[in-house]
Amino acid sequence: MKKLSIYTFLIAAVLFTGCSQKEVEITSPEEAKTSESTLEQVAEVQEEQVVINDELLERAENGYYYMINGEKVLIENIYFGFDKYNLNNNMKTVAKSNADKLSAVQSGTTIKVEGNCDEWGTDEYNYALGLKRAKVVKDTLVMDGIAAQNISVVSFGESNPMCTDKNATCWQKNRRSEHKLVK
Amino acid sequence: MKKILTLIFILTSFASFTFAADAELDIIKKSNNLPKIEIGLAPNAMKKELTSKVRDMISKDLQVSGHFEVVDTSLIVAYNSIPNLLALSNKGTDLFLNIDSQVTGFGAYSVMVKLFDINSKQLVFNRSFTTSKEERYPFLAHRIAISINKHLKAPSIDWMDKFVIFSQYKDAKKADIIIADYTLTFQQTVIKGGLNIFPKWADKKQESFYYTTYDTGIPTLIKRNIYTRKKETIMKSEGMLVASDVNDDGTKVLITASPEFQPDIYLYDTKRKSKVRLTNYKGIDVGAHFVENDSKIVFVSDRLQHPNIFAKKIGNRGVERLVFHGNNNSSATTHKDFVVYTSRDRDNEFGTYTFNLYLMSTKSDFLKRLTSNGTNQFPKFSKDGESIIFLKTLNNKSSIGIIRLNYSKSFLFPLKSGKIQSLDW
Repeated sequence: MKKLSIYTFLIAAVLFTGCSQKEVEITSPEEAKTSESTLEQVAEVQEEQVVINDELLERAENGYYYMINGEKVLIENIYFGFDKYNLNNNMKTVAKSNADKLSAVQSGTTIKVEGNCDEWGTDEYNYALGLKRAKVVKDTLVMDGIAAQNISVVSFGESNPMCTDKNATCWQKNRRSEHKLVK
Repeated sequence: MKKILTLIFILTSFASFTFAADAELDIIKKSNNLPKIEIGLAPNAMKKELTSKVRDMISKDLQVSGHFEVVDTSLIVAYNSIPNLLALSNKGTDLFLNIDSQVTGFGAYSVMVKLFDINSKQLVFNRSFTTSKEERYPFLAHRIAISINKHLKAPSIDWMDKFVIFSQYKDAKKADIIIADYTLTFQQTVIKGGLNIFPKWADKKQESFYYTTYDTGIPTLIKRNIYTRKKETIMKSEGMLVASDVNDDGTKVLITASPEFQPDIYLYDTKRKSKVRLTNYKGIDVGAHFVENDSKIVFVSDRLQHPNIFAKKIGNRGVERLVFHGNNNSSATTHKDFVVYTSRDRDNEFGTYTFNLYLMSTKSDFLKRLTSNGTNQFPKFSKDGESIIFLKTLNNKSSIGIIRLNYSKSFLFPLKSGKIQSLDW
């Protein structure tokens, strides 16, 4: 019986070779939801409203000029080594000098420290590096007498480069913390 | 006699069903060689240049699937004719796909395809695909490849129809969010103006996404519906804020936030709208992803003085180091128990760096390098875990890369100019 079943199957297999299939429909109904059909319903984009409340007098190669207490002063950027967020001795001196100048800032004005990175490194880590760079500068200003509640920090990661050349000089210029005054 | 005839009838009915199915399976599994397919463009196709792009995209999709060997064709066959089956058979070609197109009365663009099985000398697939906007042709091509692949009963390549969402820098402190097909050929901006970064799909259906905006000056996490544009503010965080990973059912989100100006990882419950801090280290902890059924996280930390990959069971104190090579490992993406990360391998003599992708398991010693040159970043698993999308830069040229893990093959698609900030699949 078993042999007959196998034999029958083989015969059937041979007989069905070359049998023409049912004519396939020319136009089939589309599958339920595809990305292309979804695009019909995606809302049209609108420009987002952006609030920019930074105040600065003039931009310098290595910082920003502000009018503080009737005087035009330069608040210098702080620069960092590759993958680093500590201040070297040179930068500690610069930070101290910034603190002296910023101590005269009017009350009600916030000092916003913005941390930045070069283009290397990847996504979240870069933004975290930028934040650590902003935070270490804030801590230094606090240690030198600026009230902590008058200082805010934000990281811009690699989104705010000073230059876009592909060389070590440019990368160094981008690894920085900047200071903005916000009323 | 009657019994035998009945038996034969039953067996032949069964046989016809299984044989038809097996014949199609045979096309895919034939003796260790992939079925060879030639793809031709019918001579009277309307919009020839566009349809040629569709043909090229279908060709690439079928190659990327890993289920076909696409061979060049010089054959031009009128759409209503049958190709020279003997000539194709002599070349060893198994399948011939003919493509035609037309513009409908309503201005829609239709692509018609006929697939011939050379071995059985049959037309096996005959269908038309339409889009109302020509610029969407990549999705048309992907649907055609998916349908052909499905018809031949090959393993699913439905992932080719999914959107990729990415952020692209437009200028200093300016980045837009864009949805695209997996090759990034089709692109449509969904968030424009200001600095908008780290987009992340909020659900499998790709109806909503999370992203971080700096519109008000303070990093803010937003959830946005792509159809209604409905906007939900999840939280704000002075310093930085990123939605790193979303679990399968969309109820939990791993977030990097800095409420104390310190980058740490939080687990956010979307129903309770509450967050729990998961890391306490004073340095950098970022980029968390769920593994092992959401019981653990894999994340990037500099707790050993340089960025590296660690794991932590949610609810436990202990942290386990996962990677023991290199001194700069970051950008982890996970699927089940697998992790793909970017590792800075070495400086070369020109002072630039190479970043390569590595695949590892959290449950065994398995470790495999996936790329060998250039800068390879932003790896992301597809939802089914079978493919990795990433960005490759080599000799100042950028491409989107797709690695098909089961087939150990990698494909590149040239990228339009512009710097990508991050992407999600």
